[in-house]
Amino acid sequence: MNHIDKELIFTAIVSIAVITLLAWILRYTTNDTVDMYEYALTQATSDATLVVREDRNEDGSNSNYGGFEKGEEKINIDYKGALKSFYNTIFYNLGISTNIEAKNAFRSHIPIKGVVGYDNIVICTYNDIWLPPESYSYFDKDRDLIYRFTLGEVVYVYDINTGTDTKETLDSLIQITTDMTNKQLKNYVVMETINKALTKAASSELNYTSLNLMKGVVFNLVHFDHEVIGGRDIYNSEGNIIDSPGFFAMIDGIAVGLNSERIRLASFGGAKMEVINK
Amino acid sequence: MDSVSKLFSIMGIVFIVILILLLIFFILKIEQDQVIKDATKDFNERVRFEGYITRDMYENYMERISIKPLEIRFRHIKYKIDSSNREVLTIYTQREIIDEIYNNPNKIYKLEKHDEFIVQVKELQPSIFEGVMQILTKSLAKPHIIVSKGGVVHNESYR
Repeated sequence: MNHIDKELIFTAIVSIAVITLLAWILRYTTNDTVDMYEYALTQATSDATLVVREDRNEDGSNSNYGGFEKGEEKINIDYKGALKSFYNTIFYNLGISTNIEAKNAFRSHIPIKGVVGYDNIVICTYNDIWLPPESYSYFDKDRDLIYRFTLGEVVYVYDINTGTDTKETLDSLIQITTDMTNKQLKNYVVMETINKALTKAASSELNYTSLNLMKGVVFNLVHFDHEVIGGRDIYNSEGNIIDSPGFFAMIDGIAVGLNSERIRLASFGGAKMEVINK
Repeated sequence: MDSVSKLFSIMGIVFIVILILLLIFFILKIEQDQVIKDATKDFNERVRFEGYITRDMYENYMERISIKPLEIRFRHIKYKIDSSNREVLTIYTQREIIDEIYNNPNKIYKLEKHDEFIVQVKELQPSIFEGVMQILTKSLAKPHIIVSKGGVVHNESYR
């Protein structure tokens, strides 16, 4: 083997080592950036959920889009406070809380957020417009009744013929459909309402960001951190049970890494949500 | 011709050595930053989910991050409703927090549920890798901020 061959081999080995190290660093820093966004988002929805669940009986001024009932007590949701808390936390954790330009730029990457409330879902668009609430309603065509479900046991039953509204519980009602228990029906209706509201908002012309691609998106709750918001069970993907109100949001279209891959992250009440594009 | 090729190979080796050194420093910086990020995240979460800061918590955090010169900033933000029903904001700084921890007989700094607590750690001496990091990660963060963690206080477990 002559001198030049040795040099070539040496150069090749060193080049491969350097390239491998560079690739590792790139991958590490990209993952780190995604982690940063994910952490900021889950902390922000956790904090906003704390506001959503807080009793605000004495001050109804911020509750323009309905409320929820806890026991016999009517409780208003502080939507404005929840949104403020959400933004504050996300900006703190991205280190841009004092950078107005960066904050405004980032807002357009949060095209959908909102509140899964006790008896309805309310969505807030990218420009912070709260859309009208969507109730968890089911129409019983055989009996001309409209059932308005809640995340708890309470069901409001509206009789179309008499125009009366009564408050019932899931157990006290007769079985509404033949193939499902009332609880299963409630879970189905709640999930369908949430999915439909999200899909509608995602495909709305109000969302001019990359969400145009999102028709048919499925939001899938895969993890719930009990330590973050204190011990309530929320399931979605399998069990389809969400039993307490929470704030949700998604980050969309942030470019990370060398090849500018666009990330899409979602979170509900401090839990990570899986976003599947159909 | 021979001396030209020798010069090229020496330049090549020097270049490779510089590149390897840069990479080593780069990795060291990443490792150091990760320690600071983890410690800050743990400290911030603990304060927000417990609702207080003790001398032990503070000193433990300081010890974990004392691996390079840093500028650390705490902010405790309180929102209050004034007599005309407007929301007013008060900020308690690091000096006030430390003063309470060290000089108050109870040696505890208490926060209230719904207050906000933010920790920001900046590099005192900006490294030459900062610019490279910004380009690689497309980070939104301002230069030299290693980590910023914050949010709402969830509990008052000192009660």
